[in-house]
Amino acid sequence: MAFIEIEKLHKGYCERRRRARTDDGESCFGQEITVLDDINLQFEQGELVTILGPSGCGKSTMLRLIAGFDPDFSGLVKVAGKPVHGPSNESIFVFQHNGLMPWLTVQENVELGIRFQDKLERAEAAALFIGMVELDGFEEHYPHQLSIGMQRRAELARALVVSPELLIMDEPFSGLDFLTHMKIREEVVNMHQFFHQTILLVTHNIDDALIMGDRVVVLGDRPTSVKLDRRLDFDHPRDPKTQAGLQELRDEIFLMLGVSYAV
Amino acid sequence: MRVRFCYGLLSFGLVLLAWEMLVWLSGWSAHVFPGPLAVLASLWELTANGTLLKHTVASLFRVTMGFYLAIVFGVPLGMLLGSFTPLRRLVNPLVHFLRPISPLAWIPLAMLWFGIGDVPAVFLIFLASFFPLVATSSMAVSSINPTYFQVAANFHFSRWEMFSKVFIPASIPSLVAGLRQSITIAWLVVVAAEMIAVQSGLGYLILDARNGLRMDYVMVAMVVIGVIGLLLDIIMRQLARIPSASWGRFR
Repeated sequence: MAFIEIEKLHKGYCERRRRARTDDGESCFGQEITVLDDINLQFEQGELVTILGPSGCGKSTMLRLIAGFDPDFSGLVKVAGKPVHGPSNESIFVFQHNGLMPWLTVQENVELGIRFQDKLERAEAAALFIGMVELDGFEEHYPHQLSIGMQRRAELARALVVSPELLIMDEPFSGLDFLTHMKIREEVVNMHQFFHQTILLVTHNIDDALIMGDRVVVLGDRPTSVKLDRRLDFDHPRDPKTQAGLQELRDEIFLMLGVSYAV
Repeated sequence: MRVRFCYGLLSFGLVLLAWEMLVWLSGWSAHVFPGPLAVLASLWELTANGTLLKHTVASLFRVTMGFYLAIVFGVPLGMLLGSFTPLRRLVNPLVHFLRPISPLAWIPLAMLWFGIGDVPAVFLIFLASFFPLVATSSMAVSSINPTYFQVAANFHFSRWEMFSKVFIPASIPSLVAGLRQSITIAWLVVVAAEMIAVQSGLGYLILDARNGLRMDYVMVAMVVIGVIGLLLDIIMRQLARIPSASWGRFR
């Protein structure tokens, strides 16, 4: 049985003012805007799956459904054999912007998920993961005192400290400068090779997807369908621009997303 | 900070100089247009005989009472409105209808309802700061980034933790900004409120001095009002600097 099972997933938004409560919940009288339609996917435990797709195609929506942030969908989403009913600290969402609580220090943010452990244990675990993301010395800093890259790292530490079975990352490299992007990308790959959590990572960057993923999924335009789903059995480090097998796939994905001349 | 303070001092010095010159050049009598030196002398006189302290304390007392009452009722109401959209839709039009009505327009009613003494004055200050506080607190709450609640849910926050560890801290910077705005308004209104129905306060001092044609006393009261307004603003600014409020400036 797969770790994450998505069956016949359907998600639509109703046009405003056309919503009405009926006996069997809410129904939509106006035109429903379908975001996800009949998505069937299975992800294995420990897989790093990169998800690509044109903007607005419903990638993020799907991630939020898997994270349990939005219970309003039809179909089935199961994580670790259990249907998703709400957020859980088994699957931590890493946000694109402002995921850290700005009124808490780095240390306090990292300790959010382990706040019920005793003080010593908490400090020890926090120190371990803050060290892992190379933020030692910044424990007492507030998020606004850190660069975006450091904020992203702190959020990663906060996620890792609860040892989640699933990490859900929504464009984790957006807004980073080139070098920080490369560096954090490498760190996520290393982290995954060390912990072997399941990771779902949405990105716009085809090279990121091909370099990081054990598997790449390409979603099509709304209503979203799975256009391509391919395992990537290549050793790290990879070079999708020249490496045989990857290069062809790269061109194929570029074409699929409507770019005929990839650089 | 030091530099800014020096600039502030310089601008005050220049204004005082210009004021004194103007008095000189205009040739008006000191009864009509007292210069800074005359005002300073009167300031000393009123301080020495205790009048100024008595009136200042009376004004501060009324502002504090009115403002606290406004906080006690206005902030929770605003936060409630900010959290529940249907309630906001119900009450917001009313708030925005009452808000632009100058508190001074309430004077006749305030006197009729509460008679004379501290109560009508406190009531006017309450009104003056209540509506801005409701509006800003409601904004503070409704503009909380929903991501914070999702993060909290992700880490299994209880309902109480959602309230005490997300809802409250997330709204503090905007709440403090709202307090700063409304205390200025409250202080603005106290003078007018004290021109009716009371026998003390800086507003009363102005009214009384006018009746006695003591423009120097009027100006002393104005100076004190200005200084206290400045101090209140500085205090509120310091409040906005504490870490749990200051992150709002960097969002």
